[in-house]
Amino acid sequence: MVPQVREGGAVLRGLTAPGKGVRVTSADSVWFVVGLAVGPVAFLLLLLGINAVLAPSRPSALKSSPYECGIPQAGSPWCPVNIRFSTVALLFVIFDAEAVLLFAVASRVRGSVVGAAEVAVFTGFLALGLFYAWKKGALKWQA
Amino acid sequence: MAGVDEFARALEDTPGGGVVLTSIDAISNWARGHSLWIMPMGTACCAMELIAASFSRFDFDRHGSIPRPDPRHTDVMVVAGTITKKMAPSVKLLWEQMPEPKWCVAMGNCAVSGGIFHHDTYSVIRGVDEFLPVDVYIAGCPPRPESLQDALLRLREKVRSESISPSRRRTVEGLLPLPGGEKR
Repeated sequence: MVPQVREGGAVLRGLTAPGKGVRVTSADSVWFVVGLAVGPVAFLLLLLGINAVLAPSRPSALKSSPYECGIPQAGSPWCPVNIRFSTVALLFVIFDAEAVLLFAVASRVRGSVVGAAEVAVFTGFLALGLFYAWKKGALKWQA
Repeated sequence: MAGVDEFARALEDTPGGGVVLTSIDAISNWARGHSLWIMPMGTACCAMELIAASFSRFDFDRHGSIPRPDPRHTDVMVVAGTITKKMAPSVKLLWEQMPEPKWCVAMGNCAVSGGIFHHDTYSVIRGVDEFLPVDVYIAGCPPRPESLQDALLRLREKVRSESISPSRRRTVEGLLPLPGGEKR
């Protein structure tokens, strides 16, 4: 028999079994997932299709001009950027990865000495990379 | 206008297509009339009333009217304030950048006729209808948000009279004559 679980008033047939976590037990649940994937896409395509048929379209150069609060655009935003910024961007990734991963483990290692040591070692590794780049002169802005 | 014109004409030519056409009109006009997003063209003190209209005391969200800071998102330009001759090209450009269908509300005496600047001023446009197709005029210096609310509800009546077919226009029963009379 297909196990039935009542969750929030809805019966999920075959998707979950009591005490066993999520487990696929019938074709219904597969169709449920397929519907979840196909349904929203079909709905969006339907809306876009209706829009394509019914929306009035009067394109013009003025209409597609950039929105600058009604003032003509002063210059092109596609200007060259100094190549040295790329090094800064690469170094930023160190801090980025550090912040993201530290926040991820912070709740698990809370109050644990071993956890603090692990996090310190991880931070040390990242710091090693930063010091290497520093020693190589990546932080120096040569004119 | 692209595909929608041919679509409407094909429906008109098809026997029984008018039922489909009027049903589409009813649904799309209902949707358009109940989501009149505002391009807040506030240039003077009327803008304070326009801003107040969005907040909790008047809460225009319940009418589906929310202000958006981008002409590409919006349906109705509310010109709230004095438009000087120097400002007019910017207002015109913003109007051009709004996608169809679009409507315009002239809020306050300055936007309607130049207001207190109507006489003896060299710099002020005597009413935005000199360069914009205004649908609803609101008198007042400044008008209260209730007046703007009335204008949006009147505009909704006008939207209900429109059709995706260029050759069609229906009369709508309202308490007062529709703004702009028969033609737009």
